[in-house]
Amino acid sequence: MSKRLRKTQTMLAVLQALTVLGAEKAHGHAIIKWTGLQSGTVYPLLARLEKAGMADSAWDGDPSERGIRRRLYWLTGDGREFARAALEGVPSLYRGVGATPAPAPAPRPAVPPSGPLPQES
Amino acid sequence: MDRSGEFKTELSKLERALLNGAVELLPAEDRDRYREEWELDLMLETGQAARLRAARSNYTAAVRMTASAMTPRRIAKNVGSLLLTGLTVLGVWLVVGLFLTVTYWLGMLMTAPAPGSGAVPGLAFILAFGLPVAVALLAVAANVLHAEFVRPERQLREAADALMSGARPASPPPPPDGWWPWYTQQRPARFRGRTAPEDEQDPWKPDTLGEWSAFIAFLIGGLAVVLAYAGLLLVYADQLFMLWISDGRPFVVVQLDQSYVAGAVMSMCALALAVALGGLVCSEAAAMVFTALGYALGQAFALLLLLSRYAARACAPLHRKAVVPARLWIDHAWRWEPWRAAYATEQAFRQARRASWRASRASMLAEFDAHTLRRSYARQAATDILTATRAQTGTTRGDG
Repeated sequence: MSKRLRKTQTMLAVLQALTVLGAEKAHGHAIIKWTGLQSGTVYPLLARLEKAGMADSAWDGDPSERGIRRRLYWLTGDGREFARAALEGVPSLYRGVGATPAPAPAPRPAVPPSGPLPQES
Repeated sequence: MDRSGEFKTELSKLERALLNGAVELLPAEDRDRYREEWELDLMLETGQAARLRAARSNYTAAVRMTASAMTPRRIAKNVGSLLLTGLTVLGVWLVVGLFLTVTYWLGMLMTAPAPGSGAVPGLAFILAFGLPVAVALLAVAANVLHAEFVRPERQLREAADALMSGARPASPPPPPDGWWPWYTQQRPARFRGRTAPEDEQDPWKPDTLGEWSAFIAFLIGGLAVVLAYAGLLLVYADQLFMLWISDGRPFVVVQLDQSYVAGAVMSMCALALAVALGGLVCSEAAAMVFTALGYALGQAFALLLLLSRYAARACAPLHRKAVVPARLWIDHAWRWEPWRAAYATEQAFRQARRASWRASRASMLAEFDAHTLRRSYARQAATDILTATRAQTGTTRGDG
């Protein structure tokens, strides 16, 4: 089944998001925010993974409760094997903000460096 | 516990329309799931621009998922649905055709004993009812097919493209569930969002002028058709009754033909005008309103003619006792006879005067001629007498 899944950059990003976020937090919006991809790309990939048996999904919480629920996605056993093989040697594809904190930028010095101040034009 | 309180963001009408349109593209078994999931995604977005971008992207996702899920079986199902719609329209048309055929032969059977009337009742019925009904059915089928396959997707795509390009539309696009109560009633669950207001979920509540106009015109047209058919049946019942009690010479059908051919022509002209006007204003609602009004007007005209004929037929005794003598008197008094008599008298007078003048002239000529002849004869006679006298007396002129 995995032969039908092409290991594109977006597919690898979604697989990495599913792996990193884990089954507790990987709902559609979180994956979108983590990968930085549009929902028009993420949801077809998730549907393809589900159809191939690599991923599964379920509603979060008690179905008897009213209101809007999250749909959580996770990798199945085959999916984890597939992701491990596919993501081997792949750098982090994190492109957004969300579950995993982004690497913090270098803090700006509180005191300006010595030297002449730039002239304001 | 009600978790809807977590998300205070209310989707705008356009975002809701985009979401509904995207979900409608999906297979029926996946719609509820993705509607809920994508609605949550939209509510989690901050800012209207981000929500619209996400809604547009959801639409793209639906298109991609539908395309990837388009198995041969699903394609066959779509084609089968289309064929089923066509067969339904064809079936209705066949039923109408069967009815027209029966009425045609009934009409031919009734008018057969009336030679020389020039009536073709079956043709008249087809013109009066078959063509308008066929046009109406085609309009229904076209509207259904258009609403099913073309309009929602096109409207949503145009609206989304306009928004993505940065131009804000002047007004939000109309809800894609159509304005026609009949069609909406056939598909009550179509395009309804879970959090839509109650008044938007009632398909039998037109809320715009166009919807009300269409609804009223549709009612008027339907009422006109029902009344026309009722009047037709009434006339035919009367026809059968007349056949039973009389010598079998129907005469109503002849008048019916003329009136209904006129009514049918009016109907068709009104329909053509309606379609043209609707096309000019580039609005489906306007086209259907004009079509319904034109059809109603044409049928009302035909019905009016029919009722007038039937009223005249019902008032035949009064007509025979009062109108016919009056008309005969009017004919006698004001039409051919006096003028013809006066003309004949004038002509006779002129001819007499001309004859008299001719006779007079002939007489005068004759008298003149006679006088002339008489004078010449007299001169000749006098000459002869003188000659004879001279010869007898032996004298000549100049002698005496």
